[in-house]
Amino acid sequence: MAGGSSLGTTDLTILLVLMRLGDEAYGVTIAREIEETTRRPVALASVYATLDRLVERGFAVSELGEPTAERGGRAKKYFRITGRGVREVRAAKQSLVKLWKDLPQLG
Amino acid sequence: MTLRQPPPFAGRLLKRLVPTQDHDVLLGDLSEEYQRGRSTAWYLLQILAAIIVGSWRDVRTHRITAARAVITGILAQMLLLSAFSPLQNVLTGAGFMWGNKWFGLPWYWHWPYDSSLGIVMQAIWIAGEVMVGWLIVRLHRGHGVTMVLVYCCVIGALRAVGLLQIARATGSPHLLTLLYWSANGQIREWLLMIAGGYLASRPAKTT
Repeated sequence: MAGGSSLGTTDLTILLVLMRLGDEAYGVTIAREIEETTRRPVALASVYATLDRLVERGFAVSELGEPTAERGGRAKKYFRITGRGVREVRAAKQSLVKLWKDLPQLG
Repeated sequence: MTLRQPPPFAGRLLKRLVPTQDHDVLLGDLSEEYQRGRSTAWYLLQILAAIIVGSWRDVRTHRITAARAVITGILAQMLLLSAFSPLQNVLTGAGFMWGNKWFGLPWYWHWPYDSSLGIVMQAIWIAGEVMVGWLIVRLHRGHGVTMVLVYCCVIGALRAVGLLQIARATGSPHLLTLLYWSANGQIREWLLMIAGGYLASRPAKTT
C-alpha cells in the first residue's frame, strides 16, 4: 500500500474491528462484526491467522480471559490494538483517501 | 441450561491433523457459537477451514520440511512403481528379473486364480498408496498430515501441467475428458495417501 502503510485489506479490516469493539474483541465478536459488515461468511481460523500475524508485527496484543462451561472449559483470548497499530491504520486511511479522491466512478 | 455438545471427533481430528498449533481458543469460540444455535454443518465446515488454514500456516513456517516431505513422497512413489512390475511377475507365477538374470518360480508358487489377479494387484496398489502417505507423515510426525497434503497438492499440480502439455502436443480435442478421468484417479490417490497419513499421525491428547 502507498503512503507508508504495510497493511493488507484483511489486516486493516481486523484492526478497524478491534478499534470498534474495544475491550470486547475476541474471535467470536470479531468474526460477527466482519460478517455483519461484509455480509459474507467468515472462517474463525482465518481471523485467528490474521490476529496472530498482527500480534507478531506488534499491531495488536492478546490476553487470555476466564474459561467458561459454554466454551467447553476453554478460555477466551481478547485482542487489543496497540499504538503502533493505530498509527498503521491512520497511514492506511491517508493512502486510501488519496486513492479514492476525485474518482468520478465512485461519485 | 442444557449445553449442546458439538461433535467431539471434529476437535480431536483438528488437533491430530494439525498438531503444530494450539486450537483450544478456536475450539472454545466454535463451541460458544454452537451453543448459540449454529448448525452442526457450520461447525464441521469451520473445522475443515481450520485444518486448511492451519496446514497452510504450518507449511509457510516450515518450508524446508515441506520440500523434504515432497521429496520423500516422490521417492516412495518411485519405489512403489519400480516394485509393482516385478511383484506382478511373481504373482502371475512366472518369476522375476534380478539384474540380467531371470529367476523362475516353482509350480506351487503360481497364482491359481487368474480372474482375481486384477483384484490382488489393485489391493497392492491401494496398500502402496496408503504406505506412501503413512511414510511421509511418519517421517514428519510433528506436523500431522500437513506434509501429506503438501505432497498431494504438488503431485496434482505437476500432473495437471503434464496433461496440459500432452493435450497441447497431441492436439487433443478431448482435454476435459482427459482431465476428468485423470482427476478421478488423482482424487482416489489423494484420499488413500491422506488415510495412510492419518494412520501414521499421533492421536490427539484428550483434555
